[in-house]
Amino acid sequence: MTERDVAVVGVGQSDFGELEGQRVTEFGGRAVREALLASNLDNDAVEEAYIGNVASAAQDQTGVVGQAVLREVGVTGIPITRVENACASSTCAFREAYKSIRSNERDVVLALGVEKMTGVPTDVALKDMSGASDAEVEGPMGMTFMGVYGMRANAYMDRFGDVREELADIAVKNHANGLANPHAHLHLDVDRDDVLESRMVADPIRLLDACPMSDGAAAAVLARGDVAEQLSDEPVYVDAVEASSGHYLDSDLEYWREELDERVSEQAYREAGIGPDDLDVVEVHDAATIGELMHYEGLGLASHGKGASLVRNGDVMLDGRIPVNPSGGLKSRGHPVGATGVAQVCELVWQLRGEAGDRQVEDPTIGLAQNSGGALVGEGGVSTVTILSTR
Amino acid sequence: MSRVHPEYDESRRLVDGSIRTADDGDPVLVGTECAECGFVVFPTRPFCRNCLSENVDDIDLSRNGELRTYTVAHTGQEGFEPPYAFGFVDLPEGVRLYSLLKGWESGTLEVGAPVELTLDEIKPDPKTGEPLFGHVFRLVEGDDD
Ligand SMILES: [Zn+2]
Repeated sequence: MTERDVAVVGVGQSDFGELEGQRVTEFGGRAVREALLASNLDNDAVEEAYIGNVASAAQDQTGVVGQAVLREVGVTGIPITRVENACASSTCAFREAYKSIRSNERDVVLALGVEKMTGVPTDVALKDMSGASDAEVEGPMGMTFMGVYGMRANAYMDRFGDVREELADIAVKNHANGLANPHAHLHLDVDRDDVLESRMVADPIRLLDACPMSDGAAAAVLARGDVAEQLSDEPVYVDAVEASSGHYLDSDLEYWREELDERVSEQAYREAGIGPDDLDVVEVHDAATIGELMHYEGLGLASHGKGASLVRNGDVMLDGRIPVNPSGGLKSRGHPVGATGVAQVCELVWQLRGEAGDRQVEDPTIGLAQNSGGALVGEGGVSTVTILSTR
Repeated sequence: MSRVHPEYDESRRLVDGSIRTADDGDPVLVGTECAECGFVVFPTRPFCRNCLSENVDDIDLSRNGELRTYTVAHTGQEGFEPPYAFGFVDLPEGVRLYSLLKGWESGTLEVGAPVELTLDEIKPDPKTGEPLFGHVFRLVEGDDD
């Protein structure tokens, strides 16, 4: 171990779902409390905090949402910074926490994400979502969040053929996994026909291909490697947290390809000194089922056009060669946009420690989480890849 | 069929500087071309996004393009009557833009389909209820008779 090692000491997550009557401070505070208790840390040990959040600017806690949440758990008197990067906000908060430890600025830093999406007027919630596109032409002219996935799916199927059954099977898999996740938003037992017969949202994306809008919070305590080893018998090392944005100025992007994922995952694999074949468990951004399929290819789990074969041959099932979204993914766990990234980290930590209960993957040691946010002219706003291990 | 909606007037354009009616009465999209590096952007901009030069001029863009991808939304934003279609259109100038799509029926939209520019209603103004106008691409009628 070198001094530059960074590890996750403990994590916590609130229930995801329609947390009726609960403010961000309530469920946000709960997630942080769990993370602190799991880390054997007093609240005054936290030196800095980064919070991922998207929509509070349009709601009641319009500013200092991080301070408002952390006051509930007595984490005060430190630098607290909100990070907004659409649906990848809290992975970007996690990345800031990681960087501040790696640069030897801090020893113990908290990363969290909170989001309240239900119980606000639907037009506000939809605007929060469509606002993560170009607000000059796309948003005002009717583009929708699921429409971006519908457009990607049509481009993908134009090039590689019909994958609607495999997309449905991804939804079935993620809902089956989510049934074993007590924090999940949607506990649904669905089969392929249920998905294929559900209401059309943005052709070919149907209601059961799409994630729900959820409330929720997730938190992770990061520490310098040697500090983490004193606090925990099972530190989970952070081997890479990489992020990038789209190119936008080029107009030759192919919508069937996750070029942004490819760039980010290559950097992350290099940083961690591993390749896709070394992964034991993966969480990806399945805001829609086509997202999951394309992330298989973007992360190098399958070559271009071959993502569906991972579904057909069972590789990505809980007991398969490379289980994807054991938590249930955004599809079942839910998608409180600013909290999703750290929720993926929570799942990897639980999986790598063997604490994932009935959805436990067999003996994983290396896990990867991929988180996406926003789009401009259909090209991703941000993609992040985080690699954790118990090496 | 006219390519400009009969009720169109410039004061009710949704995106300023993006479209106008040309002398021939048909609509044109307006972009900006850089005299230094040749980069073309839509809608117009005061300087070049690529090389940062202010030596730029507004230009008329092609009325015909190719559909890169598309979807049909069955739930949508307020002010849009589902089902409605949208997609990304590539123009020969190297510009890709988002557009609502008209002139389609179920199953007729496809990647690579030729599309042509119209100036049409986008949605009602949320304050006045009067229609707002802008670019809408229409499938060029096929000759598969
Ligand atoms: Zn230029």
